[in-house]
Amino acid sequence: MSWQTFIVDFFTYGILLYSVALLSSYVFIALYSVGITRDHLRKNTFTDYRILASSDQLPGLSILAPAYNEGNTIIENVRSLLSIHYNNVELVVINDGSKDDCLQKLIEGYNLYKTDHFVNEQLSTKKVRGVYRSHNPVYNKLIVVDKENGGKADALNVGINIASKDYIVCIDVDCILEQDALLKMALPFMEHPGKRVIASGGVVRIVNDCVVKNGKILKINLPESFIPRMQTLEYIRAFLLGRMAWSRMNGLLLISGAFGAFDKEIVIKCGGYNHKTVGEDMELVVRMRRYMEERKEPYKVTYIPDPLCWTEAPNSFQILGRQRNRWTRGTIETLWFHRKMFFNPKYGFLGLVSYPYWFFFEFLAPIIEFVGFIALFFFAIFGLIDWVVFLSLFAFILSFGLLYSMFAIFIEVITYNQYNRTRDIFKLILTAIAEPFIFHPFVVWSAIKGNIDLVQKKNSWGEMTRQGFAKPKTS
Amino acid sequence: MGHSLITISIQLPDASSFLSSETHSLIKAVIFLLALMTGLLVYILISLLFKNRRERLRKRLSRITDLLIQRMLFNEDQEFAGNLTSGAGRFLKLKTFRNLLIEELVRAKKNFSGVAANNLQLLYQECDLSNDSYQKLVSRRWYLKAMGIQELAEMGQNKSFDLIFELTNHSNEQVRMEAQNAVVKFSGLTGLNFLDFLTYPLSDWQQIQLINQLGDVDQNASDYIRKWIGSSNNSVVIFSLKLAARYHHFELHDRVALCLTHPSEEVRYHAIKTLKEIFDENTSANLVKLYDAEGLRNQLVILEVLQNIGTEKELPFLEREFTRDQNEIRLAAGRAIARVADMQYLESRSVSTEYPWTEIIQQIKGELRK
Repeated sequence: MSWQTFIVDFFTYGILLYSVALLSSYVFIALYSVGITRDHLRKNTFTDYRILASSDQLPGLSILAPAYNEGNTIIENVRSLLSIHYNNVELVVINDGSKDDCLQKLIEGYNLYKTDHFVNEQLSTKKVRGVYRSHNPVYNKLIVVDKENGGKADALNVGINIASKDYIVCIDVDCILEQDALLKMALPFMEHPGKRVIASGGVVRIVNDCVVKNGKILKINLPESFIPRMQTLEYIRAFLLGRMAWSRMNGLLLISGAFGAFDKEIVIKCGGYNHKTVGEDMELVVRMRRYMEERKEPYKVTYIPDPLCWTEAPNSFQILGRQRNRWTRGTIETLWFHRKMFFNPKYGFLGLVSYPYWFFFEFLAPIIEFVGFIALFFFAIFGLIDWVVFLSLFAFILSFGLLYSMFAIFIEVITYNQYNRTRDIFKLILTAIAEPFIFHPFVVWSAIKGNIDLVQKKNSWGEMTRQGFAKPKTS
Repeated sequence: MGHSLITISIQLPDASSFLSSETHSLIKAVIFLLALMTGLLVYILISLLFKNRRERLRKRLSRITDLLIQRMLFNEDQEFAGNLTSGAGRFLKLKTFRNLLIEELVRAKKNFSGVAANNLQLLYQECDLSNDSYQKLVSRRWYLKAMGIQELAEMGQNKSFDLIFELTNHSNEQVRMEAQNAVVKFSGLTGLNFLDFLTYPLSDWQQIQLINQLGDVDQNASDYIRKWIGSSNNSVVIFSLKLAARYHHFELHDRVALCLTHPSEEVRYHAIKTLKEIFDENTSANLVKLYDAEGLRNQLVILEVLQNIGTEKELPFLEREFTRDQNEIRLAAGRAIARVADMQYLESRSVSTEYPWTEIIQQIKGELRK
């Protein structure tokens, strides 16, 4: 066997093996997620959240909401968060050195005064300039912290230092939470005797084109524009299939930064959020899991399939590109920080399955695909492609991708059925058909740019511009 | 979704003979996937159609169930239920209607008591819905079994007690929980006898549900609680400690104090919290003795308890802790000193002008002002 043949065979069969493994993992995830979602829905019918809401043994939650230049919407956003049903809660809004009038608006809007609050610096952070509370007893759950700018991770760490409750709920301040979101989020921490639940996540859905009034969703609509609609499909796939399956295996590595609850004691013992990465949400979960594995303490990371949190998705390729670029850098940084776990049996399922899965199928997938595109281009120029084989494989992959998306739509219909009009279903299917030609190549390109930016040590967060929510029509 | 398979075709320009059969298989696979997709699409549309139709039907039927329940709720005529159900006879033949009516009755029953609740029970009996619930109870599917238990318990079907009691140690968690809730709903504290043989742990959530079902407990409860505090199941011990605290069973003080030496840290934590509610003149001293051997979580809870029950005798200990190197401990000890003595006493400590004690004292001052 010549070395050229060896290289060609290695490349061919290597990629074939990789692809088979990837597609098999998708099939497994899709099928494995069904059981846990079905059981959750059935169990949910027995849960009387009123008992939980009225109990004096409700776990204490500190909601941490970092805000940077949110002056235009901060009053409404805070009002929405203060209206959530939960007794044992405090809302900590952290003004991360905003350049706009965010803090001033909060002071005026909620009648705040600077208080003597001892900040227990269990996690080192940028300087806290002041802690504010309201003169108005109606807002006694509200704490506003003003600090020097240090980024989202630093702001969250300040929030952790200030938080007085046992569990922290980290959210994006502009998210809309369902009224019972915190009750549902608190429950997993009380349901698993013998295992410490260190973190719990909830499903995030896309709010674009939904009708919102006073921080509450009045009507759920499928986004009209292609990009948010595509992300709606993507979120359904990721949350209803991917995360539920990983949660069932107790192998979940990521809880969305938009909405996640954590055991404060473990967060502090782990050193809090890492401000050296733009993927601080994933990095924290991985570090917490690693901490528990190293101490051989039984633990669990749970996920709730109920739509609990609504967020605005990017509506332009420019902003979407920045977001995906950041996600890629965050993933690579996290994998790099915790490379010790790679196929390390000491970390059990985490080291042998979860980490390698992320490495091969989340980090490497866009790179392999991109290399494939370049090779395709050159081989096409040199006439080296068997087009019949190529088109057959291409059709197979497209069909598989479409089938996977349709399965996710099917699960959505039989579970939460939020887009319950036939035309919405057809729109989602058409979006899935268009995905490989428009959306997917862009996402792969953004991931490649993320890799390049990381190599060039560009570590910007990337500005996210919000359009705001659709208001109810007035007649 | 990765499209990396496209690279395979690129790499095999000289292997067309191998791939020709593979291509054939691929085309077959594509046809298979397309067929699956078509099938799935049809299934999605049918599911959507049925789901939406079922929703509409439920809405229509719920107008009737609402009417039945509303008319029954405030009725004082015993024969009225019979007349009412004979009027709804044709609907009662529909399984969907019967299930919906049971669901609505269970929901309504949770919100009413007295005559209104009895009337709902009467309607349940007149419609002969208990048969439906019994069928669910004997089902092999856990969610139907659990639903049957919930319905029978909520509708006061006491004769099902024995059947349900047997399920209080069931291997399925939901069935077990519903059965435990049901027996407590039927017979109050004596329903908790399943704790004698419970081999599974009681989750915190289940403990909240059981306490909610119990309501008020008479003083004789202490004999039962004393027995369960000695259980080998730690979650049962913790639940018993919560009961002792909730109902202020001072006579259990010595038994609870014994739990301060329990091997489980979690049990000790709850024992400390319980002693806050049923303390005597020796409790504070016992907690101080225990303190040094405990971890941070239990130390903090001891300091929290001393805020409420501490005496001047504990001041030297609290002052020592106030100067410890952990801020959480300093803050908790400072709070306890401010409560046991007063703010002036706290401010007069030698460290009170140094960082971080000045800030800690300021915060405690602010808290006391509130």
